[in-house]
Amino acid sequence: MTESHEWPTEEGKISIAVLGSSGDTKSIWDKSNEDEVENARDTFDKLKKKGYLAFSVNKDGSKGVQMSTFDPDAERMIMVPQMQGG
Amino acid sequence: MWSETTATTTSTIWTGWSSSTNQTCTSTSCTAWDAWNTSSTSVTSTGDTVFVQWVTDGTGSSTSNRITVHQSVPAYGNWVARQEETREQKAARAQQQLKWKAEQKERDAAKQQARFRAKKILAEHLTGVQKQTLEKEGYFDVQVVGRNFRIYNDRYQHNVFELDDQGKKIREFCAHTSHACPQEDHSLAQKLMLEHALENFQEIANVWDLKGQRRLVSQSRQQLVLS
Repeated sequence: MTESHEWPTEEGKISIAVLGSSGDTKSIWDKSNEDEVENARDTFDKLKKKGYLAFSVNKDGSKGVQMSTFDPDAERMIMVPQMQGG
Repeated sequence: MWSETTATTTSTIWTGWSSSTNQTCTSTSCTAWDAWNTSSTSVTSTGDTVFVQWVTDGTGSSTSNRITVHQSVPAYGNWVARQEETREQKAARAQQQLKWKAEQKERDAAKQQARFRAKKILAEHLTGVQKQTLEKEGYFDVQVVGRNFRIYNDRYQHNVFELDDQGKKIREFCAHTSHACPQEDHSLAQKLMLEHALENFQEIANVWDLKGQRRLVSQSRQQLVLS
């Protein structure tokens, strides 16, 4: 897994951008490596447990979907801290 | 050392105290001080200036064991003046201030970086029109299943509105992420929620009906309508 502030340019990567106080941090895994996929799933699940909401987004910025479970085929994911009514 | 004493009136307390410490004393406070000072240094004065002199000179005059005080001195001011920093203390304080300044500078730089990243990821998920209105007007509109929403990017709360067909605000929504997130991350989160989890967003948010000027409590609180 590598961390970056940029989306990966190569194909075959799983990337999760986590929104937080330092802006978004992107964790990137290699889709062809089973261990890495499991690590990505683990990260996803841990954040979901913390109340983060997960969205799959497309490279071109067009609409994606909200995710309840990890999808290794998702190109890019954005995880948003839990929201609350103001 | 202080000794305990019991006295029934203010004027006799000095007498009581003096007796327990083997001081010869009359029943008024001024003479009590005199008596006390006889065994160490002696102070003659009227009431409150005795203390002033004591504070100013510590244990009294260095040349005589008897001091006569005739004027009032700002005791606290003198005490403060005596607490002047040493050269080492001054240097340590200056160093600490430099450290704090450097830390603040680092925090500001990190904040700027965070904002830069947030602006970038938000822009990546906006259409050309949305980017334009964001730049010019400070908001962008989001269309979701036939409904129009406007997100203002200048504040964390009370920044999402539903518009009618004429572009008039009809409802106000308030739901936000952590305030630690940069503003643009916050706006992106709201956009994603509106587009992909509208029901969830409406459940979380506090809602105001701007037509009727009523506050509609979020759905998760059973759609109560407050006047």
